[in-house]
Amino acid sequence: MKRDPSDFDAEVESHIALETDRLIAEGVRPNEAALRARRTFGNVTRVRETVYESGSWVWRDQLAQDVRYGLRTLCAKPALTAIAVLTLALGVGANTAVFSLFDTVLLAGLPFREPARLVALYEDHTALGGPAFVEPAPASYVAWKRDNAQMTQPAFEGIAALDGFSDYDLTGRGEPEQVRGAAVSGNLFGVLGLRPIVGRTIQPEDDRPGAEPVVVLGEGYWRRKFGADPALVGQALTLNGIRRTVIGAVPGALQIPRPDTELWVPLAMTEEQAGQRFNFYLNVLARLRPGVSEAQARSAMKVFAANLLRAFPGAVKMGTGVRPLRDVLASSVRPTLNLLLATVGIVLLIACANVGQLLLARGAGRAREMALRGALGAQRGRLLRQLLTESLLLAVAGAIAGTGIAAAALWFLARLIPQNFPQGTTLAINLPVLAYTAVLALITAVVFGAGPALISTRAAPASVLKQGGRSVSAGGGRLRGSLITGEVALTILLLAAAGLLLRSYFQLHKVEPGYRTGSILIADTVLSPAGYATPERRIAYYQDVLARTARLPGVISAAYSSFAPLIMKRGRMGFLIEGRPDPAPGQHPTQMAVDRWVSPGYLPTMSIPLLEGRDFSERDTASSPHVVLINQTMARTFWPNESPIGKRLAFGVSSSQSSPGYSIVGVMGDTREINLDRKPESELFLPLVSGAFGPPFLWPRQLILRTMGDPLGQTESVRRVIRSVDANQPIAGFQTMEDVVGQEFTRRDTQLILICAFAALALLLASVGLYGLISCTVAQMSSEIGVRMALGAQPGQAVGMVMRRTFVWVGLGLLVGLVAAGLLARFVESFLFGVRATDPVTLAGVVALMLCVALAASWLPASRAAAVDPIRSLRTD
Amino acid sequence: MSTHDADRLPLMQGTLDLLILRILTLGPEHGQGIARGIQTRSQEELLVEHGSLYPALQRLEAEGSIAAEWGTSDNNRRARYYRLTPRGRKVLALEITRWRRLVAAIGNILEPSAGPKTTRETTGEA
Repeated sequence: MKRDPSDFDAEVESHIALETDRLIAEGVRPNEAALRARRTFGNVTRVRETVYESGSWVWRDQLAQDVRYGLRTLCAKPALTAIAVLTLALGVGANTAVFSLFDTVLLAGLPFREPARLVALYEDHTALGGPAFVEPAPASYVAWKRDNAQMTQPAFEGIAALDGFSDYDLTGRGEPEQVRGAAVSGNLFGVLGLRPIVGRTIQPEDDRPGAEPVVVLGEGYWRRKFGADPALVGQALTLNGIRRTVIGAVPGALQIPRPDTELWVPLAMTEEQAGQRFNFYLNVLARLRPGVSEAQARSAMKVFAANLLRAFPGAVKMGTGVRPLRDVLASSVRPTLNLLLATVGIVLLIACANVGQLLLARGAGRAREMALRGALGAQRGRLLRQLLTESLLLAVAGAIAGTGIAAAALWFLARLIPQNFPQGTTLAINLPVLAYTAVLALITAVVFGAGPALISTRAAPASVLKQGGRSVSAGGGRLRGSLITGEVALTILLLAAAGLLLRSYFQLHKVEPGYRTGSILIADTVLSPAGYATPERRIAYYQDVLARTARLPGVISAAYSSFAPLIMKRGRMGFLIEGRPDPAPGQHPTQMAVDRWVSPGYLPTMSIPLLEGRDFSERDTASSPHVVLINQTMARTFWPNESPIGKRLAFGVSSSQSSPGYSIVGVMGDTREINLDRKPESELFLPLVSGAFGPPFLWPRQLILRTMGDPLGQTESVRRVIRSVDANQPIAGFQTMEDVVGQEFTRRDTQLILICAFAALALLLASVGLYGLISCTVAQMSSEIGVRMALGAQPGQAVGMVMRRTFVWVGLGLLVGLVAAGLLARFVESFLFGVRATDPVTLAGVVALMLCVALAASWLPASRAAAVDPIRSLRTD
Repeated sequence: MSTHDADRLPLMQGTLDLLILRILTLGPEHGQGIARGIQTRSQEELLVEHGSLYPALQRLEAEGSIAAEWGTSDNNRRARYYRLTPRGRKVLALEITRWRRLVAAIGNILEPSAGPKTTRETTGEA
């Protein structure tokens, strides 16, 4: 509540009147009484001021005053204000956009009950030279579950498993269709806390061999395929030839371990499946009991691992791992996000340095104003407050414009949302993001505003007024110089990062995948165990399809493979070499190779060179001797001085218990089966027929065609062929090999474009800053230049003098930037490919670029020094 | 009266609020009345500086110990009347207790022979 000053004046008047009345009543003459009353009261103005200043609304008045005044000063110099706001908008906008991604990926709630308590459990194979987080084998999962239940204070409320790599053919409902699904343990939905939107979820009773087969649908599929019909619950669907009763539908949020999972069935492991110890494929999720920390869970898991070791004496020394579910989901984008956060932080710092410099330059021009106001009694704190209010106004304007820029850039950043996030996850400028931006604006205002404000209010009024307000304190010059040094150093850092990423990009594009990528069509056809119960039926299917597709006009050749390159992100197998010692009993084989099952035409279809020996042929059948192809890397690693042809491999735990030996019949070129950005690793190809004898996930599923024209032009004829072979066999989808390779680059591309854009922005800001600095230096030095030129200095010397003074700061910045780049090298190492983080070529290029830009930015203002007219510049002082 | 002004005692720091609140227990009063009240009740010993009276009123009003309203004085002049709020009564009780402890403590120091008086306020008279 605000009290009007006139109200107080009225009160004072009434006081004096009352006092006068009293004095008159005591017998004093009226004139004398009025005078005395007024005198006793004392200095009315002072009392009024004291009362006013003690009021709580003063700061509001002053703020309003500061804001008004600030707006007026900012509007008086529209160009300067526009540059400052734009600079801040770019800096704040970049941060807002990246924070929005950060918020979505790492902070926003997952659609599960208390997601913070959800963790994923792994086996740790580092002791075997394997990865630190390996999907557990069923036997481990079963043992952990039992051990947890036996703890007096269980670490986990529940441990659940899912096998995400199963696909389901839906038949009997229109065109046959292939749907991605997952087999899950009965407690999974309970552990996640996921409620059905209709019906019920899978319960432990459903998760038993021999229980009535049921299925839960994802919301998306239920809507798309069945029009969200609630009456579907209770009806049966034929999936892979098994009739399963639909028991419910759940919100489409379960994307683990892969996106677009649309249905869930009970895992229902048999005794034998549950006992598997060397088949690592389960995704195990657990919910921590309330109050149990991640570290406690980890130590509990250590105990479980030790128990497992006791249960199988001399068994594999495998550790365990616990990771929060959030980290698992975000793991693919986490490093990029960190890099981006650091980058936009640097961009914002540079923007602050620039705006700080603008304010400093303006502050120099306003030194006289500040000095005058100081001389008239304004307190320094009051002046500082006013200058900071101006900074805040700039920051707020920048933040508003920046939010607009961020909103416009979100679609691009959305490409970095990990695929396994719930479908429909988008980036948005929401409340947390806005709050972040507001805080950022506040901090920004202080960062760029404080230095200039302190400096421009520091000067003693007398000296400034005497000098006519034209000289600027030396401190301002030093601050400005260090701002340039900082800007250059930070820019060098970003340029180095961008340069290294750019070189990695070109290195990656130079990688020879080892197979052709053009004119290749991939069709996904997964055979259902029900429809193709025997290996003979499966082999007949493959041969029939291959024979018919090869006859299609426009198809050069056709082959089947378990997985086309780069599609399956795992699939490695341990192997033993006959004649060499087996690993110790119970140890898992440590020699690993990527394994694929292919038909005889695969190598020529994919243009993979055969370097030695022979390719598979139609004569390699189930009954003929087993054969295997290995790649060059494997040949060189294990038979460095001899030909591997004729050597025999075995697969399994030990050669005595394994399948019959496989003879190496050929060596092929290296192919990048899993990633393009890794070194070539050992690979082995087995004939399609032996895959057809294995478990369902080994059955070749990808029909690969080499075509004459556009590969996608063949999709209809391929559909016809598959239908003619088996009318109930669905095709899950078509892809070209070029698309598959392109996807490998997408994330890197996005990352590269962003970092390069930010580096370019930094360079632009730094050059604007340099331009400003040198303009200012020239203005300050004009009298000195004038004197020198009057004494006979040439214009060129004057320019040189200005350039020398500024390039000391630039050189220092280059040095600091390079040292920092060297120190921070290891943080970018993991993003690079084929180039070291301290790559001298890149760093030299970066320095050269920075120098060129700095020269260009400083030439224009420095050349003004040459135009200084000695007479004019001396007369004005 | 102005002739005695120089002899009067200046108010001790922090006691003005206490006195204002005490005067207002007698009923609503305007600024001049409060100043007069303090002077007459102190038998003209205390001098109230107007320069501090009004800021003090302002402060007390802001913290909610007193409330103000324009009214009419006995001799028909408009005046701003202050009255004690319930909160003000509590503050006053607290301040009186503290004042008595202060006086007792100072008394103990100045006149130690006066007996083993505790510095703590007890019931009844101090």
